[in-house]
Amino acid sequence: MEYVLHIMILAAIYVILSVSLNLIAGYTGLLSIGHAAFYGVGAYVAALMALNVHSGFLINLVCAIILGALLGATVGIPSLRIRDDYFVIATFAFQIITFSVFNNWVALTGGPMGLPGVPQPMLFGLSISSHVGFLVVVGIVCAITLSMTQRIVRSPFGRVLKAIREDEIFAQAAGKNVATYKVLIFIIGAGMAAAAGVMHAYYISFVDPTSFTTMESIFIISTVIVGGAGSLWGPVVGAAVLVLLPELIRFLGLPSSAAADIRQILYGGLLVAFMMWRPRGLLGEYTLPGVDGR
Amino acid sequence: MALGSQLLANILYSAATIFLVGISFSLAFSTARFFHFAHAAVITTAGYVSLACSQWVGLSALPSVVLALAASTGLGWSLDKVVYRPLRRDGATPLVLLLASLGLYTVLQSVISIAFGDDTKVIAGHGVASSYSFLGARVTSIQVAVMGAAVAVLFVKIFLVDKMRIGLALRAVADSPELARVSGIDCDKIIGIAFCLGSFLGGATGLFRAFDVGMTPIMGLPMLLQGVVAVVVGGNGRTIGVAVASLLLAFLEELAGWNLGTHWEEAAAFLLLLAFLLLRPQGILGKRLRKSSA
Amino acid sequence: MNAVVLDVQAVDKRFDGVKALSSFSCSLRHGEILGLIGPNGAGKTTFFNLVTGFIAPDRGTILFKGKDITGAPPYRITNQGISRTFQNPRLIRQVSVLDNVLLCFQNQPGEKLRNIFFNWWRIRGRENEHRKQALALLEEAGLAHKARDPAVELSYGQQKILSLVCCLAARSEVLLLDEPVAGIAPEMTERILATIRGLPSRGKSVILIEHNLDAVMTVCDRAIFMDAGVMVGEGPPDEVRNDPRVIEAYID
Repeated sequence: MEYVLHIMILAAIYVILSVSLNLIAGYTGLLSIGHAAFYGVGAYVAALMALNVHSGFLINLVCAIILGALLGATVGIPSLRIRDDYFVIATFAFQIITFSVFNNWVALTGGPMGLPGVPQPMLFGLSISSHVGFLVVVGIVCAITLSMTQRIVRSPFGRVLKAIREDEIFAQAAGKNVATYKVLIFIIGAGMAAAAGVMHAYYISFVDPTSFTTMESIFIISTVIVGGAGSLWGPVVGAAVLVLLPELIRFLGLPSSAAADIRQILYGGLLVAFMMWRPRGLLGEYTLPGVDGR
Repeated sequence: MALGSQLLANILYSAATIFLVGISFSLAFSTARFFHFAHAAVITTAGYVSLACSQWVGLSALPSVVLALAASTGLGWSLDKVVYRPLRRDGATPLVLLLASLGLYTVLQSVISIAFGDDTKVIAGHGVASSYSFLGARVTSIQVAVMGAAVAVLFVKIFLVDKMRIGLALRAVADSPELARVSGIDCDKIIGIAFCLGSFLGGATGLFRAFDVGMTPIMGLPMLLQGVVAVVVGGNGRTIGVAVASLLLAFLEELAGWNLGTHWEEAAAFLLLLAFLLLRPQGILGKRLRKSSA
Repeated sequence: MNAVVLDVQAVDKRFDGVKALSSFSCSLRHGEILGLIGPNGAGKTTFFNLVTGFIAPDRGTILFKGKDITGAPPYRITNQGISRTFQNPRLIRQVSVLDNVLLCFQNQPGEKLRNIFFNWWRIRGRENEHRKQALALLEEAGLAHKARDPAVELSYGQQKILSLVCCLAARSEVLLLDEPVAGIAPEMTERILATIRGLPSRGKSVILIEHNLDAVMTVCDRAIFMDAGVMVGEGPPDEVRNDPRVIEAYID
């Protein structure tokens, strides 16, 4: 039972990550290999505050989201000047620099040793210690993320995002300030990813750099692509599938040392296969992020 | 004096590696016009194939090196043939190719991890030992070979490849695939050749690195990234620009290593990349990038 | 004489040393339909790009209703009331025809994040209003039956009509139409030209680029012939058409 709950909690965290990246990449067409960096920033901010300032769960959550969002703005701004694969390279640079800070600023982040001993979250005087309690908290954050996303993508704001994805020049000609939208969507997406990071930090009660690598970013991209970029529920399905599949493989009795690699082969292979044979993903409405039909 | 020349030797050696990887990356990047991320795995493959040949099969040095280079060349070529070419035929954008490439990298790296383990492997018995003293600086024979190779590639690229028919064809495809096609150039063939040349060169550089300091399954990625930084900073398709950028980058990394500690080298390289992408995306010597116009 | 709405004064634009426009001036009066003709590379589309802010002129000023809009970003120019179409229609291809039109309404409350979360009832009202207006515009343009289809499924001619509808949805006073009937079947051409002819009665002024001189003759009040970035001739369309220089340019 514990195990099932554990998987559900993990899946919920990845749903938040996948849905938030989908806003940036799937709806707005700005592919980013830096999503794990926002995730990490959220986790580190929460862990550092809980360990050093001893502030409460909600305050830490809010601070982490704000910091993640600020960082999102700084990544969003280059998207105004740099396009397509050069922008991807820029987000990649951001990912590497952030990881480098996590890994090397030992005084702050503990370096490769990480930050152990993140206390159990307290909410309204209740200590969340059981898996069930934690699933409820993550579930609530996940639901808020989803409903915010739904509001955004079904609004005229979301319509502008799609216009930017498909034809930026048309969006400008239609009177939309493309720059503002790009930065805003990065702020929102990064803030959500930071919230997922807070969940991770409290749930694992330990934060270290290996959770926020380039590979993690690629994994998040895979959840979006497999589920279907640019659709509301696609990334939810994608995250669930990609979190569950490796668990099924575990039952095949493969050596645990190879488990991480097999998981990577699985989602890397799925990423290639979906690109080749089903680029719109399991539930996708649109062909792909960044496809320009000219 | 000795310290100065040792520093200089270090800078020249790492600049040579960066340059070789940069040129190997830019061959595919400029003709096929997408970020061939899986090139990192191609770089890594050569070292491991050589290891397998000499230690599992028991071949001597020369045949295993030849086989290793053949393997990386073949791998790069078949990635293009099996994955990228069908995608291009379907009109895939650079972002789609990049996503597929991320998946390929993930799979290949994990396969190497499973086959060889994650620990550092060295190729024993291949005459790594010999080292020279030159103006007080100690350099190994491998390092001399890398610097020699870089100079050779620099000259061959400028005076032969860029002038010969294949060089013209490569450039024609890079400038405008449509125009090249109209004038009777088989774009797929040219891109295939670019992948072969790039993979050969990348594999060779990876092999040098493996001989010099040993190898891990993830060693190709940081190498590739440095090369990418040099290509962006130097200007894509500009051989001399990439050479200058490699020197600049090697110098900067050495500087960061000295002042902040070696683990900050990577972050310094990527800050340089971000600065260039934002302020001078055409590179040191490059002309303005094509502007998107209505 | 109606008031001047758009006044372009001596604009210069060079690309890599080549003059695309040199000290080009023209003005557009309220309710006027002005035709812009000339060979390829004459600078017609460059002129549109300058007026709509996609590129900034090297010199010169552009006034819209007396206000200087030179070098303003495209979205702001559209906000103020100048809309354009593109030679090859630009649309959000994978989104419904109706959504394309809805996108083009200006100052929508639902485009502001704060309203999405704290003011959604107001958005819903405005959205329904826009939807009605958009459907009416599509009905008029003969595209109502396609409203739910993705824009990519429209024919080339229908895409051009949709671009025109988008300009109307933006409620712009000045419409810049880049080859609205090029490459379109005759009956469709008639329909588009009729729509353009009706624009002044809705209080709009139009500049259109067109190679089809017959089309220019039937809809334009005035024509400008330009070549190599300068104005060569100007006047009533039939006069411009019979100008020996124009005849020469078109026979070449």
